[in-house]
Amino acid sequence: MIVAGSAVHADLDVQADIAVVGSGAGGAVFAKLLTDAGHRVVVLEEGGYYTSADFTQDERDMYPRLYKDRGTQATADQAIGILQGRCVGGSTVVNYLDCFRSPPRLLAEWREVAGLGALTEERMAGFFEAVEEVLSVRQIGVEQLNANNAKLWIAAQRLGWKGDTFHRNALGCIGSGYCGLGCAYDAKQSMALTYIPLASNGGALIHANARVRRILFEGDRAVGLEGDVLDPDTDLPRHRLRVRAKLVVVACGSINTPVLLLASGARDPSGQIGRNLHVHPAFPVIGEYDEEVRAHEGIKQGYYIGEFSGVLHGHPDDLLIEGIGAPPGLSAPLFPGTGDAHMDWLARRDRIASAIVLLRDAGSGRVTVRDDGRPTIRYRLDEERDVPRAKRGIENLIRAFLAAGARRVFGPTVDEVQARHPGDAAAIHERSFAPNRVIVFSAHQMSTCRMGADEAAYPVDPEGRLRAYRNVVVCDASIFPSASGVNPQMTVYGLASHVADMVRSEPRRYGL
Amino acid sequence: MSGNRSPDPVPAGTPHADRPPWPSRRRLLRLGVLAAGGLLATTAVPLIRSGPFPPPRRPLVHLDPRRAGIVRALGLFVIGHDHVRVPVDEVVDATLGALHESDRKLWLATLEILEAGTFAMALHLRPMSELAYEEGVAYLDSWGRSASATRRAMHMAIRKTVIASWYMDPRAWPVLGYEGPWVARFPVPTVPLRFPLRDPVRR
Repeated sequence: MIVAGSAVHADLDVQADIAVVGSGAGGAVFAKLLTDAGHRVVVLEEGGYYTSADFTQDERDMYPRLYKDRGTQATADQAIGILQGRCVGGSTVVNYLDCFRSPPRLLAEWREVAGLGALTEERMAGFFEAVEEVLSVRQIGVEQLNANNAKLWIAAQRLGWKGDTFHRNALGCIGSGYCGLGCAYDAKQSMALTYIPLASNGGALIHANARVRRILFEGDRAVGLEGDVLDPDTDLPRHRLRVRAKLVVVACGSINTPVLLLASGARDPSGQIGRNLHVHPAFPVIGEYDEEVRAHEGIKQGYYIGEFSGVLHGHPDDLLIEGIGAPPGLSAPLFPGTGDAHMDWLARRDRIASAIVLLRDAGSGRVTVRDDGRPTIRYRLDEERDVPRAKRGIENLIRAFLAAGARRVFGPTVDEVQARHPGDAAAIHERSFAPNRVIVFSAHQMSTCRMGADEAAYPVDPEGRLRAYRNVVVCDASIFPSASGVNPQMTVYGLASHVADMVRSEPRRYGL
Repeated sequence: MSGNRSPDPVPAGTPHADRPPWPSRRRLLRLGVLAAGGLLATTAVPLIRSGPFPPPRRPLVHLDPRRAGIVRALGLFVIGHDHVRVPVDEVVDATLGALHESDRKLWLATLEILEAGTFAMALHLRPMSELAYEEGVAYLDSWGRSASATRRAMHMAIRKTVIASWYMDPRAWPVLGYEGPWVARFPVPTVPLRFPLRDPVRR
């Protein structure tokens, strides 16, 4: 059963075997698998519950409903917009459906560096197959690419670069192009359409508009949770929420998981909770063509160039180039210029292709908690390890757009880089990437509660438990030992399945 | 792949490890209120700009008349001369309503600093809302290209809010050749998958 905050009319006391905080990629998969194993599971989601009937495709309605901080979340210096879902289903409701299994190189690195020996390709493959079946994950064909993504495909053919169409978790996608505002056609197989209803059918109780403020600890155990039931319209507390559970699963995403743990005063022998934040910085590049592109229509992310990926192909730059489009409110601030010059660009929007350089960041930032319980996100691009690679990626993306016939291409820096010939692209190396001198955003946050064997470096042990407690499991992208280097949703599903499998195998070790 | 790719940039236990390398929002807010108050107190220039601005269709909640005037001038500088399609103060006011209170206060303080900053930072004898179009664009660009990270951050916060608020409004869409949401134009029946009866991988 899914219970919205509006349906709760008194303070709420809930008892369960397992309390899962967060209903996104990690929480939903964990909840379903443990419900199947016969446990009483309650899922607590701060955001609201919305269905296709609510998805108006109007940015003014959807950002406040579906995104953390109404879509305005950013780093403390405003330099990097941090996009994060906040609703039943979490970011899987608003993502662009890209499904990469964790690449073998990534798993090998995590086994070697983080000591996660259990993450073998064979074991993870079983989890991925199960998830892909539920989510109807299929690779799209080249014929399904919109004109925007086709530019990258053409470029890859002409330049001899490795690339491929995306695998996507969609069923009957009509290519409306509104993936980021919730799928109004129930084509996107988000958690809200798959694992959450499956968990609910199995007996799990899902509370929407339920904000957990702190975990209650007694010695080396968590005994429950405290929070509020929120008014779905105002987000203001309506009733008190108390949950008693034998096992607490924290799956609020890489920003809010450390916030909840820090606000709860969780012991952290490693001192690493909230640190090591990776964001996969995404640098947008736009190219102007003579013909119509209409990047905002069709399958927005259909093709990627993997030539420069380390985790896919061993390239030292370790980045992906991905086609992308966005609705007007999200995309307009990314265009260069001020005043009439800015509007001139937007007036040509139909002929403009857009793509991003998605960098596997080696540098990292930090999440801390403020007095009011909200996160402060600090992150700066690493000048030594990341900026040079990002610049090479942007240079290559500019070359790609030109190879596909662009009349001119613009880089993402405030001090403009305009390229009409491949040789012009090198100008990007002269530009500053200091905060707010380069346009950059993040849709992937990771690694703020890393999982690994070394207790001095990793707050979460290889069995998924917060190190200082017997019965607190962390189960989202925050446990990634490092940035995944590919769009992370499948890796979250895989790790959630892995941790859930360990809990199912030996429930007593987790307090059940 | 070799080595740990994500070392901690601020080792635990480092003195002042909790202190951000740039001003916190609270410090920015304090700085903003102080700077704006001081500068405004020394001027008696009427700040409510009149001109060919479309009136908002609903009462403003978070922008008082003076600040609404500043925002309308910002609209001209940031959006361009076609800004009259959509009342900038109306759409920005709605966006401010969706922000957390502390973020809203910070945004308004930043607005005040931008307004008053013309005196000290651009040597104009008028506040920003009194500048001509070319002057206003140059003034805003000077913030966006400033050597000061704080000024660039303030510029980014203001620019993003004004542009996103304006272009989200249907009245702006003709500029983009954008016809609006598909659901309003092409109704497609949805598949009732919300509670599937069969679990393909139940074990």
